[in-house]
Amino acid sequence: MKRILVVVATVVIAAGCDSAVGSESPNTGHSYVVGVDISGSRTKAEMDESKKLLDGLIDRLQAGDHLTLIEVYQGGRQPARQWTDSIRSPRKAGELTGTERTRIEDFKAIARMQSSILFDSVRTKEIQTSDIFGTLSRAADYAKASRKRPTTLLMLSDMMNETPDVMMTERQEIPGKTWIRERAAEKRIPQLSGVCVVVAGADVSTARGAAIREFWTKYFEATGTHVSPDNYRNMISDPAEVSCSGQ
Amino acid sequence: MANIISPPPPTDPGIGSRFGRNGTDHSSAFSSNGDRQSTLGARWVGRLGQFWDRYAPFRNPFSPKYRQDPLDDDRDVGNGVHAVTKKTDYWFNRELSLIEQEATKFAAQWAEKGLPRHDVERVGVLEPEQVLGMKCLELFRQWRRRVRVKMQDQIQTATANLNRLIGESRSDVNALALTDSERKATSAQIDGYRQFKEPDNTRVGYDRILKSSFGFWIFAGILTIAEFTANFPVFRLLLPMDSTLVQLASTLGEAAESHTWLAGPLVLFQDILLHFEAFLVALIAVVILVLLGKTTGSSARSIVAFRASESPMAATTIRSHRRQHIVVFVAGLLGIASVLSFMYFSRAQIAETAQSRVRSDSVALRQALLDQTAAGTDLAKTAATTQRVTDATRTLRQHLDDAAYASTVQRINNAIVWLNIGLVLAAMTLGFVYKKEDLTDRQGEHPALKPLRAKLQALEREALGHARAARIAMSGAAAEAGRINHLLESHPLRDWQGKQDRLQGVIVQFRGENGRLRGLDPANIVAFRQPSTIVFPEVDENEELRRPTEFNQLLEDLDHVEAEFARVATFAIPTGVQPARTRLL
Repeated sequence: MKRILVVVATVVIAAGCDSAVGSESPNTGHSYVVGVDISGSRTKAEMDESKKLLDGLIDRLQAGDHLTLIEVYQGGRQPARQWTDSIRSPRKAGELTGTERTRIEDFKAIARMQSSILFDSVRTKEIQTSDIFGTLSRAADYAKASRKRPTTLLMLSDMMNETPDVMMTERQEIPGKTWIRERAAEKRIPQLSGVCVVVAGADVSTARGAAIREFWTKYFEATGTHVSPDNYRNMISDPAEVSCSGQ
Repeated sequence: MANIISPPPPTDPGIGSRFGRNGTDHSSAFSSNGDRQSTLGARWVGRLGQFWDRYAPFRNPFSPKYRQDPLDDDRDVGNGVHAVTKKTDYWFNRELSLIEQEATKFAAQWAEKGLPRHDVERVGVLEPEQVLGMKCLELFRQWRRRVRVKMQDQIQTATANLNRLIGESRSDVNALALTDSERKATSAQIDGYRQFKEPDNTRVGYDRILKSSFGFWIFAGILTIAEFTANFPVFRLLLPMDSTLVQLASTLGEAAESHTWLAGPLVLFQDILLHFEAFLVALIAVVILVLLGKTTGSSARSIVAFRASESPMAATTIRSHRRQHIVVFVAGLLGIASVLSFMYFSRAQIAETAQSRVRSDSVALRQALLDQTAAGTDLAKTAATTQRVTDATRTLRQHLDDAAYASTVQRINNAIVWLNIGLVLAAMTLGFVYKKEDLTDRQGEHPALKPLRAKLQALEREALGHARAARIAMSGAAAEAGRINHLLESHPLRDWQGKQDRLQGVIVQFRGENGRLRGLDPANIVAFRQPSTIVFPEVDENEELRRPTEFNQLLEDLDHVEAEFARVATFAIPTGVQPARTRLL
């Protein structure tokens, strides 16, 4: 009887300890980097749609996923305006324990809280500029640190950069290929190879919007990735569409 | 001759005391009521004086008043002739003194009148001399009669004592013989019980009611697990984990959940191990409880299973065995009561403890909410504070559940006590049915031996007492017989001549005093030329005292009793020296 008890105790303790070690697997889950643009160039409806999409994306997060939220207007230069965290990977793929589910729910609750902070309507009026380039640079940094996870960059923005060096408010002010080539030569373009880029909130119906899309298409190619026309949209109603074909 | 004013003989032994007469105070020597008896008050005074002389406290041992003269052998009168005649002699001297005083008085009265005339011859005896002579004659007769009567009385008294002592001796000898018979019977009984043997096939012991050791351990394990399961949650609530262990418990619990159907016991087991303090306390309490119950039950069987009267030859072993197990039984009951009380009072406090934790968690949650509010739009701080709020909320919820559980436990505390008592009784029953003992290796004796030995000892003491009483009585009887012989052969009238000579001196004193008062030589008084001799009757000084008629028979009886005692003593006296036989005839 004593031997049986000792064996059972040893097995249980060993199993528990084994499972407790290495709480996060490096190759599981998906990494989402979300750029949130709440600049004054966007309407309230657009921001509501963006927030709804972000909340939907948060709801779809699973164990092992990584989420990074970056506020676009200041290019991710202030720690207070960006947040990154991940959900611990499950111990067994496809078998979520109660604790893991609880942990996912906790993560989602926190992420929703961050989302509501980022889409604060009061602050929206105070922000007039968008630093898309800075945001992409910071996103590239986060993507590089995603431990070879499949990474998706979701830009909830109208993609109108409004910094002193590049203002996209007018069509003629939108840089051309030469500008991109010069920047690439100077290695001032972030590297996003392997990153799925999805844009939601961009203007695709006006000539300026088309010019901006053209610019960003070339720009993203310069970063090492490709943005298909299906992923450069004004609105994405289903969060499941936040992905690239083949990934 | 004694006249009617002669004082009574001093029968009171108080004479000579400081409250009584000492023979010199003549005025107080007479009876005031004329019946020759001292007054009642005088008697009491005399007795009081005697008592005072004998027992007077606070007397000064150096006072010459109480200092005894070592040469005065009259104090050691004993029981001999002198003791009998001493008072009579005293009485005689006192009466003679009175007569002599009277002679002096007559001499003075006659001398005052010038009588008798010195030159006239008297024919016949002078009147005072005649009176004095008759008194002397009477005094001598009384003395003789008193001596004989007193001696005879003493002989009779001694004879009665002899008779009584012989009777006592005979009674003691008979009692001695009787105790010997009883002792022999008792010894025979003791020998019989000593040789008593129980049949060889009689076994002092019992077997297990539950014969299976496996079953015993199974039941013991079930009892322990049941007790532990019933009480561990209580201790878990009383002794909460620290935060590190809580996190570890969460991780381990997550690991256990992946084991599907084993998750329940694994989580419970991990919970037990993580609440190690509670686990230890609960386990020790439960193990002690089960152990105490089992031990108490075993002792109970040892107490009730054996009875000294049923196995007399193992009585001593059984009594010793029972004493030890009674101690174990009582200690076990006290231990069980202590542990159950501890558990009862612990359960009675867990609701309050759980509520205090809820209050503490509420405070922590409020603080977390305040921190969350203070974080504002800071994404980094907000994430941490939100997680803290979530954790605090979850902890509060858990502790609210614990508080509810604790309240439930506290509400059914009495019922849980009964459950614990039932489990303890089950453990006691298990110990009772699993107990086996064998006391066949007996060291006892028949229970009737102890009272018989006590009776034998009492009879021996009684025999020694009877033997001693018989010896004392026979010794006293022999002494009385010797005294009677001594008194019979004493011839107390042998000094009668001396008494007569003293009485003859009374007439001479009268004549001499009369002449002295008149300034004449008594020889010159013609009337005194007549002879002054008083004629006393002849006394046979060898006259023997009357021998009691039963004296010879008593001596024979005494001889017979002594012989009987010597015979009985040879076998009836347990220890001691046999008495020597004394012939008195």
